[in-house]
Amino acid sequence: MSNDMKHHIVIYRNVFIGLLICTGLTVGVSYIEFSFVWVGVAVGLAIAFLKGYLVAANFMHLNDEKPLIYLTLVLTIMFFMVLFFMPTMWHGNSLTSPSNIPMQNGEVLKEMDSHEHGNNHHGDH
Amino acid sequence: MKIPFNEDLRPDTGLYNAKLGIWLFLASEVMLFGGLFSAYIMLRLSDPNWANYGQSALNVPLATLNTAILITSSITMVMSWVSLKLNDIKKYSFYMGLTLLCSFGFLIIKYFEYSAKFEHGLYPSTNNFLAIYFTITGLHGLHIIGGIFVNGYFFGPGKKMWSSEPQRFTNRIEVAGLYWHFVDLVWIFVFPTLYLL
Repeated sequence: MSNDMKHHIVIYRNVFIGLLICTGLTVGVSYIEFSFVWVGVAVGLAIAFLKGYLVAANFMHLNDEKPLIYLTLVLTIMFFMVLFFMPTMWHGNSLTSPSNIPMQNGEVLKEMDSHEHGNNHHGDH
Repeated sequence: MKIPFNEDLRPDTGLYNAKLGIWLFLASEVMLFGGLFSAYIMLRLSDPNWANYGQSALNVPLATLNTAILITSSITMVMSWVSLKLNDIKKYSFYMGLTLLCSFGFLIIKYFEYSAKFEHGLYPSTNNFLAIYFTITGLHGLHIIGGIFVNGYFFGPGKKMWSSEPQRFTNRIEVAGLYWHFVDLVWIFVFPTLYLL
């Protein structure tokens, strides 16, 4: 067995152990009651990103890849960010309008809609 | 006619064709799952009844076990590729078999999870959380099934390529591995997002 492959196998084993430990941490952290909810979310996502990095860098060999692959991924991340954040930053969207929130059993929240428009139901549609 | 650059690296990209192809495919997959995660955040932020949808009722121990199974399948997958690099086809079969076992194990656990939901009358149409939960985990499950077909082929009939074109077969396993690690990567984010946070 070449030394290079031996070295790789050791890395894979360590990454595997690291991933299992991180999974335990993710579950453990979720039971901690932080002062602010966002702290718990941030810690949980930080561990997820660490696990993602370990998989991508080692199992998917991204720590030693060709420039074209990196370019492809940078473009992907750019488009992903647009996809991810555009809806939340788009001031003109109607997603924040209560009338468009789907509720249980396929109904929509119409109470607030009628409140906004008074009792004029003719103008709803 | 032999398809070029199956084994040799293209001088302009420095890659064999299948490797560039799988990365472009994975880029499109990032957008697919990204759109669903974006939808999840939008629903969670805009639905005032989100807290009543029973997210905490999901089975965390089973999902944790599934996470461990997928992580295990990732290392067995990469070890099957390492085995081919070391010219050990028997070890390749062993590790690829383990990967397939883990894949089926994941699906069986998912079946029990889904069954428990349906027995309690919880369907995708029940509320917003369950709608996005079944959509994301269902799509992820379809990717697992796709991986089983690909890996199953390389475990069985596809393995005969090893005797005629060993380097090409090794490259095929590397490409299948990249797909499989991506499926693991998606679950790494699905697990805390849907089950824990």
